[in-house]
Amino acid sequence: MHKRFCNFGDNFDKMGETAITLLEFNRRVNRLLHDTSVQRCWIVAETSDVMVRNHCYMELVQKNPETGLTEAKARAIIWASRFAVLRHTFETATGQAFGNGLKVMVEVSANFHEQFGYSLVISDINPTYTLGDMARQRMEIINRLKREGIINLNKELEMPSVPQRIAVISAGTAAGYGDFIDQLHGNQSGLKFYTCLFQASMQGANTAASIIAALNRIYANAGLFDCVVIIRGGGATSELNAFDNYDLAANVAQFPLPVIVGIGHDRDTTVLDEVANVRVKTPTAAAEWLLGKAQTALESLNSISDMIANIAKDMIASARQQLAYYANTIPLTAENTITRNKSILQNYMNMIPLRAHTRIESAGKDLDVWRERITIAVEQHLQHEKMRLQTLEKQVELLSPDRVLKRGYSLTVANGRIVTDASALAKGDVMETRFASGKVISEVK
Amino acid sequence: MGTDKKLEKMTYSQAIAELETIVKEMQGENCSIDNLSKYTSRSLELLKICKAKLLTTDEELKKILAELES
Repeated sequence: MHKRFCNFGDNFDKMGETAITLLEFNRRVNRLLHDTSVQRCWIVAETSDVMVRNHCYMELVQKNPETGLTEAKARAIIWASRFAVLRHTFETATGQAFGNGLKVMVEVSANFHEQFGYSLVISDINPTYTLGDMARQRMEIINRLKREGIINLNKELEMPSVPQRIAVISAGTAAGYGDFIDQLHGNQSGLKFYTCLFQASMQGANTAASIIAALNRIYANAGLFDCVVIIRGGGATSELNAFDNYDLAANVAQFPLPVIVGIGHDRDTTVLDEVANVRVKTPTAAAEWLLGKAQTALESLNSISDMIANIAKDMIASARQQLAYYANTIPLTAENTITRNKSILQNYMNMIPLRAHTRIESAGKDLDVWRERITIAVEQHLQHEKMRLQTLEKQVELLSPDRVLKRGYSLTVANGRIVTDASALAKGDVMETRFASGKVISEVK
Repeated sequence: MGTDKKLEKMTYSQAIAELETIVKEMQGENCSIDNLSKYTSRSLELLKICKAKLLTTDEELKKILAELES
């Protein structure tokens, strides 16, 4: 027995059975895993403990969606040569660095290494699956922010017309931060900005918590600032998952100062971009945005200044013009008035003789008419009187004593008077009796 | 003209708002030449503080923020 166990060959006998070495066993396991059902098989899992050391090592895990507890786990590796290709494909498509906590769809082959044990070799990756998962996560966060009515709060804050006092959240050593500061403070127009850095870790699992802590430090001095800028150095891709974080988004959304986000990515949007007051791509773009605001303000000051000068100039010019107008117009008006009145007088002067003449003429005509009428009236009157006279004459003639005497009557006169009463005569009176022809003197007896 | 606020206590927004009001007043029908010098001198003061806010360093604020940053 002892002898047999001392013989370190490939095969051992144990109670009459042949034992094999671990190595041989592992080789057998390895051979079993060459079965096509576990080779080049597409699986979905979540990454964790990703570590790149020439090759890329990680744990693939499956968690219970309800409890979050790990239900399955396997080590996985992407060979260095393959990893270079897959990483590029993945990061280009997702805008997301290949790292921990990603839901991935990978093509794996089971592998059992005699020395290192069970692992999966990843030969391909489908970024669309990860993108879909990230989008779903983002959508869930966005829907929650909407439900809670806070998604637009920061966007609705009014950005001061010139944000000059800026609280910056960044990693202090990041190139992006340096670019931002240089760009802002080195501007050609001499515009002044006041920046204050609140350091935060901008990558890794701690990102969200670290930014929230920085926000809280700013909040304590909120009165000193016009806005907050959250920036992260460039790089083509990096871990954006940290910015699709509910707590971070909720904090930014409800922050009392407008937040500008420039976290350097080309992907559509992170949740952080969705809630920020202003979203730009890069730290440099954030600086440009702030400079733009101040530049516009400066230009508008210049234009207001020009406008005021022009209005004042115009007002003075128009007042001068008005004065000049009156200076010219008043003498002219006086002259015109005089001329006009002269001409009115002249008119009267011309008119008066003319009118007088006409009046005289017409009065003359009236006179003629009256004269004629008077003449006619007088003549008629005269005629009438003439006829009356003639009638009277005739009557008188008829009554004259001669005519009476001729008809056989006689007239007796005594004592120089006509005797009409015989008693008026006394004896001895002499009376004269006149006849139509001749007279007789007789004495009363 | 709006409030005759103490210039040094004015914010940029307040100053620019007053400037805009002055311009509007000056452009209005009823602006008389009698108000012109009042308007222009006030607007010059406002322009001066606005420009100063954009272009001159507030050393005190700079100091406060430097202390806060450390």
